[in-house]
Amino acid sequence: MSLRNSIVKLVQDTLCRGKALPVGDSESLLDAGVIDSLGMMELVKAIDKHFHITVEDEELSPDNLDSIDALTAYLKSKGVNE
Amino acid sequence: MTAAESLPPSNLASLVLSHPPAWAERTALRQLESSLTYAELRQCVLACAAHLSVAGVRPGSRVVLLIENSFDYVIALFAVLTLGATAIPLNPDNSAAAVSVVLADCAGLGCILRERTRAKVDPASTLPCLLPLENSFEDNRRRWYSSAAASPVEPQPDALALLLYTSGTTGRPKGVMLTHANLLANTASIVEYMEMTEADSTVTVLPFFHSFGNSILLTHLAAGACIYIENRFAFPAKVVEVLQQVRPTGFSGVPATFYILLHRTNFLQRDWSFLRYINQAGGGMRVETIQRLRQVMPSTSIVIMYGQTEASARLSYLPTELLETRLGSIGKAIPGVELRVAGPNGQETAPGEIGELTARGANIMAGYWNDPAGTAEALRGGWLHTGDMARRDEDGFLYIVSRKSDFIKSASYRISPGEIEDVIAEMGGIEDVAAIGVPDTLFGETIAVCVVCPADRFDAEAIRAHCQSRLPLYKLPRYILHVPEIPRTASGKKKYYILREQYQGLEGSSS
Repeated sequence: MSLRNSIVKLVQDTLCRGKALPVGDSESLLDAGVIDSLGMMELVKAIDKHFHITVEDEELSPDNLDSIDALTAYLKSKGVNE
Repeated sequence: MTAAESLPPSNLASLVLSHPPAWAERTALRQLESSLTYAELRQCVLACAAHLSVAGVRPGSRVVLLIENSFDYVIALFAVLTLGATAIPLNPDNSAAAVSVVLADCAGLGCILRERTRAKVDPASTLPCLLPLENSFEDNRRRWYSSAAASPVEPQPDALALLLYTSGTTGRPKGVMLTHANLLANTASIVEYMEMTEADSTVTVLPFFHSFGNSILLTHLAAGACIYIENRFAFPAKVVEVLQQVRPTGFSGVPATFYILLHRTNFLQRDWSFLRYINQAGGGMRVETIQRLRQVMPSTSIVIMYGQTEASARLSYLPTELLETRLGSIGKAIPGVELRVAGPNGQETAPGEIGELTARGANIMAGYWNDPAGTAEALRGGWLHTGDMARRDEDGFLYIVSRKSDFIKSASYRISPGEIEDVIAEMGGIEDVAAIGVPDTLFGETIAVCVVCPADRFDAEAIRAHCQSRLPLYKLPRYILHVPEIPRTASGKKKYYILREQYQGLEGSSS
C-alpha cells in the first residue's frame, strides 16, 4: 500500500468511523470538521503506533498534519516510506 | 428610532440589535484576517433573519444550528432570536441520525448548516434544511449585504431563547430550556463580577454550542468587547501563536485546555502580562496545573468558576486573590444566585457536612423540554439540584466533593453511561455492562466499560470496533474490562460508585 493510501486509511479508521474522507488530499481536515483537538490526540497516537515514529509537540502544526498531502510530506520527512 | 433600537433589554437579541451607537464601529468579531463591527454584525443578523422568515421561521419556532464557531454561527443564532424563535445549537460533528432525534424531540422546524457540513453529516439530505450557508463567510456576507432587513419580534422575557441538549440519565438527550431572562440574568452577573468593559477582548477556543462557550459569546457582546474566534486548538502551538499576536485581555478554558497548553506548547516560556484574566470552568482543575499557571502569569487574575447548563452557565466563582488560601474551592455564588448545601431532607447542612449543592436564581432553567418528571426532580422545592455533592467551610466557601449522578465528565462533555451501555448491549453474548468514568490527567475522566460475558466470548477489540462504528470519538471507551458481575441494588440499579472506586487506579494520561 502506498504511503498516501496508508495515511488515508489511518485517518478514516481513526476519525471517520471507517467511512470515506469527505475532503480532497490538499484540503484542510480541520476546516472540514474531520479533526478537533480530541481527534488530533487520537490521530497522533495512531500515527505513532502505526508508523513507529514519535510526533514531537513542536511538530503539532497545520503545516504537518492538516491535510493528507501535509501528512504525507511530513511522514516522508520523518523517513517513513511505507 | 427603528423598531430594533427600541427593543428592551429583556430580549437577548438586543445584545446585537440595540448596542449603544458608540459601539457601531467597534470590532465585535474577528477570525483569521476577517473582522465584523457591531454595526456590520447587526446588519447581517437582520438580513439573515429576513431569509429565515421567508423559510417559515416564526415566533416560537425551534431551529437547529449545525455550525462550527464562526461569524456565521453568531449571525444565525441572533437571526433566530431576532424572530422570537428558539435556537438549538448542536455539535456539527453529530450524525444526521442524532440530529433527527433532537428534531423529533423538540418538533423542530429544521436546520441551518453549511454545504460542507451537509456533505459530511447528512449526505442523503434527510435533515430539513431551512437555510443552507455557503462554506465561506465572505460569500454569505455578500448575500446579507444585498438583502432586506427583517422586522425584529419582541418575545416575552420568559420565552425560550435556547434549548441546549445534554446527556440524560437514561441516555436520551435532555433539552435544557433557557429563557431570554435566564440568559440575560447570567450574562449581566458575569459581566459584573468579571468587571468586563468594551476594552476587553478574548480569543475563544470553546464551542459556542456548549453553555460555557455560549456565555463567553453573550458576555462579550453585552460588554461591547471583541471576540477572536480560534478553531485550531487541535494545533495548540498555533493557539499560543495567535494569543501572542492578538494579545487579548481574557482567555477561558476547561482543565484540558490549560493542561494541553502547559504540556504540549512553549506556553511556559512566553510572556502573558497582557492577559487581565483567565477563566477556568468545566470541572475541577488539578492543583498542580493552577500553581503552574500562577507561576507563568503572576500578574493575571486566575478565576476558577463552577456552573451547569441548567444554570445558563455560571453559578459560582473563586476570585484570584483567594486562590492560594482556598485552593480547591469553587468559591461562592455569583451575584443574583443563592447556593445551598442541602441534606437528605432538603435542609441546609452545617459547615463541613456533605450534601447536594442546590441553586436558586433568575439564571436557573425553566425546565427540561417535554420532560415534566425530570423537571420536577431537578427543580424540586424551587431549587436546582445540581447532582454534585459539596461541603461549605466556616467562611462559606464551597468545595465539590463528588458527583451524586453517574454521568461521566470527559473533556468537558457530560456523557451518559446508558448511551455507551446500550451500544455495547447490542452485541451478542453480552450479559451485563456498565460504563464509568475513571480519572484522567488530561480530560478529567476517561471512559471504562465493565463487561459481563462468558470468558471465551470476551473480545475487547470487537467491542472497541463496534463502539467506533456507533459512537462519536469523545464517547469511545478507553478501557474495556471483563468483570464477573455488575454490582446492583436490591431494586436492580447499577452501583456505579462501587465500580468507580474499584477501578480508579486505572488513572492515566491521554497526552
